[in-house]
Amino acid sequence: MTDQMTDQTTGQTTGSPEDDDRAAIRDLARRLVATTFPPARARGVAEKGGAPDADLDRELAAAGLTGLEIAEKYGGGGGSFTELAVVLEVLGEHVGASTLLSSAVLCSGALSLAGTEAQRERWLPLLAAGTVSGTAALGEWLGGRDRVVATRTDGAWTLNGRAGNVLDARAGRLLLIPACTPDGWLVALVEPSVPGLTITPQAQTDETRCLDEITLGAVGVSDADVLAVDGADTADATRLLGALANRAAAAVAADSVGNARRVLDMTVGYVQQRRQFNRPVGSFQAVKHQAADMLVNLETSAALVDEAARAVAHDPSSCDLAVSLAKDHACELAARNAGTALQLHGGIGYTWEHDLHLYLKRALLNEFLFGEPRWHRDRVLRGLLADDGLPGPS
Amino acid sequence: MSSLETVRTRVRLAPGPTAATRGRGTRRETVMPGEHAQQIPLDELRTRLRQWCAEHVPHDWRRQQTGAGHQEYVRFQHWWFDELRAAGYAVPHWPAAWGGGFDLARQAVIFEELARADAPRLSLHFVSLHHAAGTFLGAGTPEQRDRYLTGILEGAVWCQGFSEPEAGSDLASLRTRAERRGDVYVVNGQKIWASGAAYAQHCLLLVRTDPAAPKRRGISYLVLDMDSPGVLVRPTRQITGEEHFCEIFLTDVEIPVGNLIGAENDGWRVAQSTLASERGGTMIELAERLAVGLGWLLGEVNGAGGKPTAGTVAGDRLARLAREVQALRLLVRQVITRPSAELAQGAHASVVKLYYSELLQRLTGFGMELAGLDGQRATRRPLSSGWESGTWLLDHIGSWEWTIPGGTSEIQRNIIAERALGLPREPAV
Repeated sequence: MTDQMTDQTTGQTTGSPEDDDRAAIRDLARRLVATTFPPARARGVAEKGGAPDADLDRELAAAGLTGLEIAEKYGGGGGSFTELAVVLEVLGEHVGASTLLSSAVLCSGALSLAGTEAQRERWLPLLAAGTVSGTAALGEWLGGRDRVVATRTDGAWTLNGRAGNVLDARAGRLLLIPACTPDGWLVALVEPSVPGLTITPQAQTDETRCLDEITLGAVGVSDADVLAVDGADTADATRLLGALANRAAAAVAADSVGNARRVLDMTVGYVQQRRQFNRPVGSFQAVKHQAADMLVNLETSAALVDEAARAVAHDPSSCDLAVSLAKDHACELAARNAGTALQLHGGIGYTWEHDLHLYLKRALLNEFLFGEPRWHRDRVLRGLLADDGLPGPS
Repeated sequence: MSSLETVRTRVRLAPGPTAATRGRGTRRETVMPGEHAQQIPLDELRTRLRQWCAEHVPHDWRRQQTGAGHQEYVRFQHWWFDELRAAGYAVPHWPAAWGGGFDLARQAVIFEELARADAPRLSLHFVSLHHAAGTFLGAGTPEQRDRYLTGILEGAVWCQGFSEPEAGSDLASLRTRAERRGDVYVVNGQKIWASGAAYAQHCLLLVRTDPAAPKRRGISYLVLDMDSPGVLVRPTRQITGEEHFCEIFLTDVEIPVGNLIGAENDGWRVAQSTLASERGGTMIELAERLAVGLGWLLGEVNGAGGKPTAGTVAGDRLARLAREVQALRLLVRQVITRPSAELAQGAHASVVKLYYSELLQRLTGFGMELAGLDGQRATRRPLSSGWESGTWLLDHIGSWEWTIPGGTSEIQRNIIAERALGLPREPAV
């Protein structure tokens, strides 16, 4: 216990270098996002129809947070997914309209996991610097209805079909498109300017994130732009998509933890200040007890998401169960907490002017983004049956 | 704006916690560095425990303990305590000098393996090993420690005389009166909900020594020998049909002043040592037992109606319980991995207690639903088992034994809201 003690005056855990780094990254990200992306800015993004905020992305890149997980030789920080998850959580605290999830978690993550040396050298330095951003279309793999089909002709691939609910496609210079092949899956690197590809922005209730629809009509992909492909006896693309889905789900769960943390702060602040019947409404047990439940929901979510991020970082080939437990729990409870927060804020929380609706809508989107509850619960049940119960403690 | 690079450099060069900051804080270290126990690598300890359990946990104990009489229960508990003590696993959370010395990570391994092997629980000795020991280690004199810890290791059973008919959630309003007369206190009053008092040799007793003082400042903490004249114990039959809780009636009972723990009228503070001992290792054990229970439920769903899938009622409930049990396990481990990192002192324990007790209620309720009408035939469950014995109907009914005592769920929510969130207290009445 001696190397894991807490300084009671600051509430910071000091322990392993990894803990210290995460705490420092959290401080840095909080300062940066609070300055660059104050609440007024979040509301502005929503009014404009929800494009990612270029200034926020620029600041994140300049501070080294966009390339946090990219290897140092490509201009990144050489960090771990657990560190990236901290930044995602901070963005959740501010409903940050950033491309960090699409670009760093999905696009850079995919290139680092599966890219050829040439692909990495070409793209990772640009992604680390924030000069370009990218995304991946994971909807179909995660149980969505859209289909993209790849056919092989004349020594190259041709893609046809539609991919909906692609995060930040409108801002991306590099799109990762999964497609079905006779042997399984293919993941192609596609630039949005390629002939036959169109991106249509989707309208949606949560305007702090943007989801887009990509249609592909005879889009050609050379072998040099194939990131991974399944063969008759190999499953490189399937493995990559599985890893990306885990990264995406853990990332959105981290966003929900940040969301829940901020929503609880807002609620506690409000019920302390709002007086009725000559006392703060926060002194009524009917209110206090709901706030206490919000904290329990937050703490259990944070514990599961921390564990999931560690599993993604250190044990990517067997993190399915940890990720799905965390995603299902954290995203559902953040949405529930936002609903409780709305109830405890009373009428003011129901106005467009108040920030709370930004958090409620994002929490509700997170619940369905990157694997609907049913998809993750199925994976939990499969994992439990395979392991004959919950896995033993690590 | 500082860059990541400067942050990393700053962090790496920053001095570690100093001796002064390290020692600060209210978390009490009951675990002393042991000469031997802490040296065992975790993996080796786990292997050792697994082997030991395979050799020592009686395979048919559940059958034997179902419908067993009081005498058989007590005999079995003492036998199992002796087995664990001989192996060095009965008091892992005690200091090394007293046969413990395992740090929290190693205690966790021990509790995990006992749970996984479905070993009997030390229910009869629970108050002795945790509440009594925690009290003497926290507030006892060296003589009291010597005498009482030695007794506990020899199998002495303790009970807790805190609650009274008119002092439940508002414990500090207790009225059992102790008047000093020469070398003794003369005690009159009534205690209730004293778990295991019918079997106990000693009782941790809270009494009022100064009726004029504000209610928390007039309380003293005494050790009561249960065979003293004037002590009458009456078991309370509970809704499960079991009789573990007791009432204790005290009529002109003389307790030597040497049995005072801490100073006179300082008993409320001493009682916090008792209550603090319910944290840490005990919760790790209970969380692990719940994980075992979840495995049984999984087997029951899987065996009855084919593989559970999401979208079915049973599948969704199972998946939900799985994430909640896992969250609990991680939460109790934070005592080890990040002590008091973000929550104010006391609030973490309340979060864990509240979450465990309500999760136990949900989990056993689901088990009861799975068992259906046939499950309603259950009339008794195995003694010496965990709170999830697998007799789900009675387990579910028994789960209110967790949401009511030890600070009701309502009290826990007050503590969380006030200590962790800083919300105002109810106006005083």
